Amino acid sequence: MSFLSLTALGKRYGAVAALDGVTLEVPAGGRTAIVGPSGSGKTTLLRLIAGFEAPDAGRITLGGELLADGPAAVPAHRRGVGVVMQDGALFPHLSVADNIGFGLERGAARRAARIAELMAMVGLDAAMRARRPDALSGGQQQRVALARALARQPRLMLLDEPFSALDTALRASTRKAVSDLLSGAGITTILVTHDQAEALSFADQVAVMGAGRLLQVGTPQALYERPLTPMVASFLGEAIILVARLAGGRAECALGLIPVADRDMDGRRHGLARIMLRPEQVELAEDGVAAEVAEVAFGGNVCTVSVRLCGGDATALTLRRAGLGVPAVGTIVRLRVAGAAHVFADAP
Amino acid sequence: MSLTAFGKPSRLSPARRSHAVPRLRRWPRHLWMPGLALLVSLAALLPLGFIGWVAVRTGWATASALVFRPRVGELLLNTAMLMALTVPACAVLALALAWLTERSDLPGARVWAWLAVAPLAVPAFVHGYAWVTLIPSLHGLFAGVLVSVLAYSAFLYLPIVAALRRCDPALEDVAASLGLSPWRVFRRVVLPQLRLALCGGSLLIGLHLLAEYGLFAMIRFDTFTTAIMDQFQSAYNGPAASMLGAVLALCCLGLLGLEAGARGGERYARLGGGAARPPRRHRLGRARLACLLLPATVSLLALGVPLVTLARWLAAGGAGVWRLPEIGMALGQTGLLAATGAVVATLAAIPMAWLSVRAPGRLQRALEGCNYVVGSLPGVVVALALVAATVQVRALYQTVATIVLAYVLMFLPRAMLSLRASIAQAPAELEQAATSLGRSPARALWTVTIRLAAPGAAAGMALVALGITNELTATQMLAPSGTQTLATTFWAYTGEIDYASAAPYALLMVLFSLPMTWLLHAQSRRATGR
Repeated sequence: MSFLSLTALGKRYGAVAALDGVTLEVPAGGRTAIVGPSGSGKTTLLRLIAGFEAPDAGRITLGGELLADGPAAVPAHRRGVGVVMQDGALFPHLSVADNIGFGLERGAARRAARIAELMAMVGLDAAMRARRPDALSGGQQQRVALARALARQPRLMLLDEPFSALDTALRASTRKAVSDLLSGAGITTILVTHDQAEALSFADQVAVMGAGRLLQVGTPQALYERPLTPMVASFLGEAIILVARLAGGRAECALGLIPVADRDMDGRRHGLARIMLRPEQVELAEDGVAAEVAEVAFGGNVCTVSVRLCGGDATALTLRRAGLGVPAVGTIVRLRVAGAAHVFADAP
Repeated sequence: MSLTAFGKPSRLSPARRSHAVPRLRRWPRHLWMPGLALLVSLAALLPLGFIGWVAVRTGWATASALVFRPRVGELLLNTAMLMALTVPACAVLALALAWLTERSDLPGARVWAWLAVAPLAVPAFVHGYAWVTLIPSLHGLFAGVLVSVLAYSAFLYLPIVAALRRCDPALEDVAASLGLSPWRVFRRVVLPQLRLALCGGSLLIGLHLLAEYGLFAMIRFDTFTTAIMDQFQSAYNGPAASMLGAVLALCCLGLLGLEAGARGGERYARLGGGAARPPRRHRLGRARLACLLLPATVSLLALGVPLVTLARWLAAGGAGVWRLPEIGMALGQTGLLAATGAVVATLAAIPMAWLSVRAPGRLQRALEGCNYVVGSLPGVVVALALVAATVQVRALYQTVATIVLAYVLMFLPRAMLSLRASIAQAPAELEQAATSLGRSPARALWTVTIRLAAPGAAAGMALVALGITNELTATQMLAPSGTQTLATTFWAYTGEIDYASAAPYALLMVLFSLPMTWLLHAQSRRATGR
């Protein structure tokens, strides 16, 4: 059941349309990630949902309650929507405890106990109560920001690239902790990020934005395997996009004859089309299409191998290989495709 | 080159080698800098030394008789009332104006922002002159508060605007998402971030209220400074004036302590990297017209009244008040004193400014503190100290050297602040590069750092010169007899109730102050690089 609905949202800044007819349904208790390149309008969308700004057009409803109808909007402080900003936005003049308790009534009976509870919940040591935000690490600051937003038991939690300021190792663990915490509490969450890996691993619904529009919405797996356009395909991970001739449920392309995923064959398509393979589908094998290794970039456990197909138009492909046994530059290798190709709806 | 070439034993004998290396020096190269800084700070301590000396010389019995008397209590009460009413009124007014011009969609916000700063171009005693000639019956506490608020609230408006521009709007967004209404967001998030600006601006206004003579003399409201001037004019260097001066100095020190306590040790700077998004302007909606009334009324009172009064007196006086030889003489003398004072103050500021950037430490902070404390003392106290000192050395009494020394003591912090900021922008590496190219440390300092700091030094000089141009009390007490500056000539004419003849001098002071006021306005807006 839809908990948050956005209907035909539009927002302009001067001549620039930041959002253009965005419609999105977010189920109750779900985790939705909004991804897109910089300037695609994802932060604007988040600010409209939070109530920091009002849309020019469109409606926002949360749990059946109308929050915005065009420029008429419920102000942020009456929405019960929690927000965690990119760099935490902690109040620099307040201690950790006062930051967390900021949204609680100052005279509330269980205030101190509730703060302690929230600190434990986000994994902050109780000894940090009296610390100032500038004495915390980036990860700790984000935990304080999360606890502060959780304190008011929001109906909806908005996360605006909250992990991007953290280093790689801390990022994954913090993301996991936040994800588990919010799921456990049953809070509907929207994460805005420009990091596709983060979006795919965090969410159960991913929405890809570009130039103020929603390009595609679906489960992470569906989006990764069956993107609607090459742009969505490359945004969610590296993609090998080839022109192929479809016939009899198979695609004939530079990599040979490849089966086509069944669901793409509605109406038994024939003729020219664009197909997509993910790099991990292309394996080095004993037999198959011949290719020459053009470049190897060593990357530890995973290496990038660039190959040029022998014969034909010398199509260049980029593959991922485990660090062990990477072929040397100049070697002729054989390529085989595992699984089926995805066919884009539009003609090449 | 093979490795063995390095391994070969030196052909130089040990004795010869020791001669080949320049003699090691035990002392840091720039020891003369702390020395000079110490010298300047000792000179700056003269007025504080004077207070101690007066207390000792007068003796406890006389001193207590002079201090613990109804007149001093009355003056203390007057001063306290003046502060208690003026400073909060300035704070509320400046806060309202700053919010309207920076955070709301007030029509013509940029113009109102400039008009809110512009009253600073009118010296306080010219404000007093304008109001008294407009409403001759105006006098007493409330008149003093009214004119002070109009003359000084820009001192709070400027830092508040700069602080508002530095606030990260994300904090306000977060507070709203935590359920705070706009008013509570302002009170709990915005206001605390303005604390340093409020403290600093209030201190500045407090110090001006303590030091100002002309404004309160015009408005016939007795403060310590007016009482000291009265005493001094009836019996110069009398113990009564000196003891009042000592109490006044203690008030200043108390104010400094109060401010240091109130500003606290909190951090207010934004956490995290990147640039903050620009703040959103609040829609005033139907309140727009009502909100326009505030800046319009303030501008009318703080700028309209002085300008209309000046225009009226100039029109009434006609061509007759433009006594060109006399005005030329005042201009020349003012210019000479201002230029000399500015150059000497800047030179005196170099050692301290250099130390605070290149070799900060406990000694440097203590010396710098001395200079700021003395710089915050009223001109009348500095002048009393110098009168007391120079009557011992008759050759110096009422000479240009003495008045320039007084200016340096009073305005040294202005020169130091500008100089320090620009020396901080001339990296130490450049000075080091110059010494590695064979320049002596002193030459490296002069040709590299001072050269790069020249624009800041010039700005500092302009600030000092402006201060001197509008200075009244110390000039009256210390300048050689016959000295006529713009301020003292203006004052002499108003003393004779010849308001028309005073008008050209007031106009000139306003014109000289305008560019500097514009600069301050521009600086407060540039605080975030916008």
